[in-house]
Amino acid sequence: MNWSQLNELLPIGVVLTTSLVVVFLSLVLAPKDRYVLSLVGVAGCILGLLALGKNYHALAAEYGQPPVFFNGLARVAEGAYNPVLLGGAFVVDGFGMSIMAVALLAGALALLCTTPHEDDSALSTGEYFGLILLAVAGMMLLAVAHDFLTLLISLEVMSVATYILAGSARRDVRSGESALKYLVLGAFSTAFLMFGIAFLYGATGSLAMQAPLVAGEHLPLVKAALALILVGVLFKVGAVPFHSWVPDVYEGAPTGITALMAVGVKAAAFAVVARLCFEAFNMVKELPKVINGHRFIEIVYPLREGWLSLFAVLAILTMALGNLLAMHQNNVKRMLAYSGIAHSGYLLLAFLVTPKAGGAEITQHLQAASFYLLAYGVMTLGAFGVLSLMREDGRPMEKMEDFTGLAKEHPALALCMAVFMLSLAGMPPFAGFFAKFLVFKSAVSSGYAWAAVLGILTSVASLYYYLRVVVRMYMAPAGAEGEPAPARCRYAWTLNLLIYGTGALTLLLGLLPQWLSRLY
Amino acid sequence: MVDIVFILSALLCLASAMTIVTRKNPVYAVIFMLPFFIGMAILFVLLSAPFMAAMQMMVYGGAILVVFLFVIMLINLRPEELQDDFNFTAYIVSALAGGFMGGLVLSFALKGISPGMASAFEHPLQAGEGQPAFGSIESLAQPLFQVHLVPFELVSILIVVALLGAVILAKKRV
Repeated sequence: MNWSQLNELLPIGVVLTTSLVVVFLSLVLAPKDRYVLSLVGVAGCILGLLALGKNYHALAAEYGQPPVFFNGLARVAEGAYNPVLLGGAFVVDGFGMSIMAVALLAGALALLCTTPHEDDSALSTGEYFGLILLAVAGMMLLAVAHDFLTLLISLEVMSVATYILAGSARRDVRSGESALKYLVLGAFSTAFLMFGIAFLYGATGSLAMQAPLVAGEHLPLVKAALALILVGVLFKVGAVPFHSWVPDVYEGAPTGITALMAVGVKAAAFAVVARLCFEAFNMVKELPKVINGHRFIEIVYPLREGWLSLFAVLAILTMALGNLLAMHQNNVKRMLAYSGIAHSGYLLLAFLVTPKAGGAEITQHLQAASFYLLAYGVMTLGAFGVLSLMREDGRPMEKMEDFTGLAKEHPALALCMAVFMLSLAGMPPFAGFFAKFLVFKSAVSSGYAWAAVLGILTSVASLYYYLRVVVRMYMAPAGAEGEPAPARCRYAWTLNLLIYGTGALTLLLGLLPQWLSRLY
Repeated sequence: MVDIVFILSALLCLASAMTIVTRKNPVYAVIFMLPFFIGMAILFVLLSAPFMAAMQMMVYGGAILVVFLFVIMLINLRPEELQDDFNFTAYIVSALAGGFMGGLVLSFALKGISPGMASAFEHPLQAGEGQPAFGSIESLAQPLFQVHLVPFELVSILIVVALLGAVILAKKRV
């Protein structure tokens, strides 16, 4: 084995090491100094991002134009940058790296959301912070997992950590409810995934990601296996027939953990969807070509027709139902949960690739998906960050009414929240607009114009519930019913800084989307 | 020789299984699971599955038995609670299970085993040249530590997650 390959997994190693450092550090720190732990964790996330950037530059230097997506058939010259690691257990490509970056951002926010002001002291122990970092490591592993066994175990590292984190606010009954629901339904979905993997192994004798491709998808057992695997993954994404857990789990979990689930878990699960779509469910179209002297297939093959229409129907249902149910919510956290379901629907549109599509088109689809995940991640993290700052007497304030007159008391936070809401609704010039634009464009280019039109209609409808928050903040006077306007936000400079950062990034990605697209 | 060992261990299994079901006190029932597991382990050895035999003793005899005992002790039943009422469903279920098992044995006794099974008995899975035998520890270890070494190592992260989770959920005060 070539040990220098492990360099590509350095970001994951950094996060894992930091999680252990945090746990051991908590043993020697006095309880009042526990805030240091979350800062150490964030430092680990930043180091992980730096390591990711270094690896990204190595990849870019090797191939000139950095490749977005590698498949298992990639062959690289001896001694060159090898994207397929450790006997095919991992593949570190541009797409996987972008998902890793989203997971690291989500982890940093989750760590900062529970700084020392948190009244439930269970939420500021070393184990809690360590577990957040381990969940992030699980997401990063999932983003680059490249055989079904690695995929399963990475998924479980992520899921088991989030089950526990969801129930970590032990004085809150809703947190326990959230953890129990997530655990029971999540275990059920994992059973589907495992059955699928077992069937696949039984049919093909291999756990490699391209096993269905090699064995031929016409085998009924392979088809059943792929369907079962898809169920397990779409559950994590929150796509429509498997979405019912999302609102309760998101509402009950501590807000930082909700952000981690809404962004990190979703991004990692979509990485699996992409690998399934473009590796497991595909068909061979192109032969390896030579680039820079290294023979490899840069981009792979589209979905088969049957899966394609299935994805289209699921995407439509997810968009429609998510937006429809979000309109009735009075709890902002719950509203964001339903909006997260709707966004999963938009994201599924990016995976509609016709069999006629060539490598360049599939690259565009993947770029749309990863841009969407990054933009959605940034704005959702910011919105949950603002939500976690809103507390009164140590109780979280999550109702629509609680946002009344926020603009007067905390103009900067209210401005950021307004940016996040408008961006989630897909208004220009924010990141959400370009994310939706790219996704709808890719749907139109593969002949699913009707799906794109439905997507545009539902996103116009979604403006209603996003604007409700903005109207509450800016137009309803505080304390209109004769009550004094409360000072409702706790202050944590690190979290505030992160919220302003995500706000700026939401604007920046909207104004200069090519700034990111130049990266690959 | 093999036949004698088989008959003895099969009898041990049957006798201890009967004892398990007929005990009123659950602690006795669980204790009698130990000879049952020992008998099963011997049967696995006779079937040339040494790994299964070792796992039978370590996982079932060691871990699961102790967990059962812990649960029974935690429930802490009083003797009068152990007197069960006449349960009609339980009788129906045991009659069904017994009938199914009896039918299976009877069909084997009357019709004999199918030709495919017979050939499987006559030609057990043979190890290829340089290949570990089916059911041996080597045949398990090679995929585990060579082909799937990375996922195997990743399981350690999963165990750390479970460990930290247990600490978070079980800690009384922080």
